[in-house]
Amino acid sequence: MANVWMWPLITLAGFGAGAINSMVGSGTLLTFPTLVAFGFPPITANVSNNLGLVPGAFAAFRGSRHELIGAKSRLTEMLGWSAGGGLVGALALLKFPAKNFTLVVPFLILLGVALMLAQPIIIKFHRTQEVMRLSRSVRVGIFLTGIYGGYFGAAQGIILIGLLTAFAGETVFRANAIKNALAGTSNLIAGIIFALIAPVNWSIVLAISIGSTLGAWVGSKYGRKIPTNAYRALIGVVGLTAAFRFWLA
Amino acid sequence: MRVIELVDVGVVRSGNSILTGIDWSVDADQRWVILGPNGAGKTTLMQILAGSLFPTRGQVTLLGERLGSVDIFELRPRIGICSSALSERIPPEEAVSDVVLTAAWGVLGRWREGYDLWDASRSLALLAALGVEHLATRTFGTLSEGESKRVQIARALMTDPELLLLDEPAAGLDLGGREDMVARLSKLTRDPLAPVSILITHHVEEIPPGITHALVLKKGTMIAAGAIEGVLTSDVLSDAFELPIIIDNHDQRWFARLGG
Repeated sequence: MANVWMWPLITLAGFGAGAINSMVGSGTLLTFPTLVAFGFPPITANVSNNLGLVPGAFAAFRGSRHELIGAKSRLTEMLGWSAGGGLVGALALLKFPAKNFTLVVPFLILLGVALMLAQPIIIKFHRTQEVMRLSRSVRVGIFLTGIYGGYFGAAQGIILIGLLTAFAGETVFRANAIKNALAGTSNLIAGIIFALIAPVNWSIVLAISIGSTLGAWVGSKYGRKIPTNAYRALIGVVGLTAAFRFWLA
Repeated sequence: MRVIELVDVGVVRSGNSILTGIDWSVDADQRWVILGPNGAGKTTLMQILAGSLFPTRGQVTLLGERLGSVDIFELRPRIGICSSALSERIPPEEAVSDVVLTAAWGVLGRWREGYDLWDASRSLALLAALGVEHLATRTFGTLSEGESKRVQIARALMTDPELLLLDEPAAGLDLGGREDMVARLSKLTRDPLAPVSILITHHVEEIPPGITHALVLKKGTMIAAGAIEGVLTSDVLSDAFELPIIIDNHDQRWFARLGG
């Protein structure tokens, strides 16, 4: 019955997730319930969804790359931390399944939102002057977020944006561009590991890949046109929605 | 990707045109030298690139951000600068290691900021890369001109800048100091992870191998810009310095002398 509409709807959910991810994060909250609603087993849905969103993340990074002209060496180091974290997180998931972990997720999302919203205040206490700085805490934070990304992943983008804006001196737009690269990398690594050991539905991967890539393309094209404060508000609203969505689930 | 884009940029100061009609762009994989006689507008151009001077006319885009529509305080931390104007502000009693370290917070003089082990090891690694790690505990005021210049470059690199501006880094150095500086700058400009570098000088002998492009200024106008081999010719430099100059190139180094 649902078969005629199933693939277009999954692709559409992928489009929405790709667009949200390219600007904020937590697009998974759109695709994952869609897949579960169509009756796919949660593990298949989770793993296939994770893999399908990877091309979208890289399309988003391509679209936002101009924010990071010249940041090659900074970005390379951050990618290393994120990839390492993603690997640890994925291996941890194999050993300790995420059963009760969902209880913590909303708090992590709220933390990310709070950090981003509190950025102007934190900066006043934290810095003597406007400066971009990759400190030890930021490095550790990226590594831990990478672990979280490999382990669970939902809304790691919001946490990264909070971390980078509050403690690394990045603007929201640059933080978002960096996040696209970092989240994409930790998801890719986790995705490869899951693909080797968990059941993957490649039709889902394909549908979501197509949707999320197109969505990311559109999202990164128009995301930059939003004024900074409206953009913060958008991240806040998406973050809060995601957190409440978890509480209700 | 464009790191710098200048469209019809001009600067007028009390009725005098200091720069006129500069159309110039720099891509991410290029390393430039800006050449020209004294008073040609090199320093003014550098101030524009540093985001510290807004031109009278034209459009300037630095690191993808258009001057005038970007918060300059968000842009400046991404640009590393090494110039004698900046070095004069470094307190002479500051320890050399702190001169580099304090760049992490964008300050001069250590106060209450916190530094972690990464900051400390990065500043020492940069001092070592520039061959001055043995001076770490000295005070800045006791350094020779050459040592001071190298410490300043380490400071400019401390924040991992995305654009590096070097204003006459080899000025005032003796022959050994100059050659050592050229060799270190050559290493820097050849490093694919190093920031896009713009070097200002008026001596072609100070151009390190690794510089790919050159821009020549004369009386505020750009008389040549492009790949270095095409720009550094006897004709162009004779025009710029208004003297018959012959220029030679050996082993990727440049040498100029007066022609007959």
